[in-house]
Amino acid sequence: MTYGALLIGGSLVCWFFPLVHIRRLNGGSTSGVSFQLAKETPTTERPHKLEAYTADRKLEAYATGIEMTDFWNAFDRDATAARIQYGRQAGLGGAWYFRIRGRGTVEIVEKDRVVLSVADSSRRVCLELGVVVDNTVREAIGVKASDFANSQDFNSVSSELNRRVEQEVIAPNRALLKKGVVVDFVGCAKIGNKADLDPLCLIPIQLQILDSQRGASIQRGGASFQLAKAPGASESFDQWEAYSRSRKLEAYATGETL
Amino acid sequence: MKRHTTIFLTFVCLAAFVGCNRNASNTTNEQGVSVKSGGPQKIAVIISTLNNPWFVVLGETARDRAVELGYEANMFDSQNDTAKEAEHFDNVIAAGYSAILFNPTDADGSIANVKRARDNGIPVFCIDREINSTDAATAQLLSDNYSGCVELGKYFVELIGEKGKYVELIGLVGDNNTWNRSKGFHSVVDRYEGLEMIAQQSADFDRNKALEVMESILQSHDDINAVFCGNDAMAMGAYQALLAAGKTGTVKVFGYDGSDDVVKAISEGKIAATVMQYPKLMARTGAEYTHEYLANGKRDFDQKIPVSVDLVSQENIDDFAGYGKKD
Repeated sequence: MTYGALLIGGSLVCWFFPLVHIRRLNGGSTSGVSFQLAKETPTTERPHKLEAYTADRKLEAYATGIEMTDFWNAFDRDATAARIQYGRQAGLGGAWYFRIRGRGTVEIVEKDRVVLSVADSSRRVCLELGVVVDNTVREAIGVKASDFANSQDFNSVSSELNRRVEQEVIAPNRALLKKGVVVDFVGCAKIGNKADLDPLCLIPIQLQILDSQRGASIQRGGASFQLAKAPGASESFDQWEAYSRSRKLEAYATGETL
Repeated sequence: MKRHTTIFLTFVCLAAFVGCNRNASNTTNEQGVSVKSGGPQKIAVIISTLNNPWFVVLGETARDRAVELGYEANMFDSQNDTAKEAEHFDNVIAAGYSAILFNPTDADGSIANVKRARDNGIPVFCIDREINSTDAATAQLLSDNYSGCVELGKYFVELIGEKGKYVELIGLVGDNNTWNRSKGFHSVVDRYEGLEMIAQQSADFDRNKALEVMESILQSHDDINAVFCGNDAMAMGAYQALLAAGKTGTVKVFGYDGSDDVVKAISEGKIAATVMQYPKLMARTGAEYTHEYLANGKRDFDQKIPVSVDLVSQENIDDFAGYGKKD
């Protein structure tokens, strides 16, 4: 009797609380098995940290770019295809981010930006020269949220990149961007809708001021040109320093959006 | 005696084997969902708190979408208590749930719960709030709080000007959303030396606490121009305190979430602005990702997926309803 009760009781316990579960290894339709999860989620945190994205040599990994006129032409042909081909969406929904290069002549100088005219185009470009505060640069160069365990670190990348853009690119060039100056630029754009294409506003990550006269002839001449005019002898040592520091961001300047 | 023991052990082993095989006897229904002999697979929706309407919308939308996709779905309220959350995970694992849609209570404190589920073969999809890990959850859908508050910060400066005094009410200190919002806001506002923060206090994302904190601040500061709140519940609490103090005409209130009452308050000119997170979008997408995982075997999810947010102000209020855009 006692054994009978034990038998029934033991059976019931094992029925409701089995010691192990047997599952199919190819269980696409089951709730999942541990080895599949292990494949999709690495067991160690990825090493990418803020420094990895802001150290110079790391930035060089970003290669090639999109010429501004090619960019506009691509959008005129098919905006959706252009976004997918040249842009990057940071997550679910929202704006697309691009890195764009080109050359323009300063036409209007405003408090926190300059507006450029561009050869062979009626469209305009503006270069933002005020405070840089959002995630445009980070998203345009393709930093991924998944590389950071804590999103606060991910957002710190924005702060650091923005700081460098302000200090290394905008500050040393701001005073030089006067009406008539020709400038080669690489910038980051956030495109939310069609209105963002004209004027196309960029946060510059590389600026190379050209002599205004020579710049004009370069634009007419086309392919062969001297890339940059470093600050002249009359300019201060500080400007030279600043100019050389701005070179650090050149690695972004040729990068394709990821 | 020995014979009886042998018979007993034989029966126990047999029962255990049959019990173990219960979960292996699944079939697939029309939606491609694996259905146990006893019914559809179960999805748990574990939410940090249901004391805030925003999270109710998040949880209910996730649950309803899971049901639409053919699952049995149940919602659990952690009441902002990590211990209660751990109990829910234990129960969910023991009850044989197939997946968890999870809104954590604490970015660090919730990691162990997610890992426990993962180790039991249960995928966990975080929605809205993150955990500080990239190897525990299957994927995390997170509002882009930093960007949202950068936009809010810009609008704040536009409205208040480059000079003024303001108060900041922050949310739960252990939640990354709290700091991403605060840092996004300060990344803009701190650029203006004339904007002075005279108090920064936590009100735990809670309306009543925000009311109390704001009342207390108003007793010692009667010259503030604005209040930035880390969520809409706190914005409503702050507004209530300002209303009682007769200050609504001079102090502008800024929130974050896009809740029903604040969207309405913006249209009535009571609240200056908020940032629309899209809880329904996040919840639905989370449920759909879970379905992709369970029914279609998808495994290559990005670990952290930022979800775009939008500034909501008087200028564009007509485009928005509570918790999203107008249809």
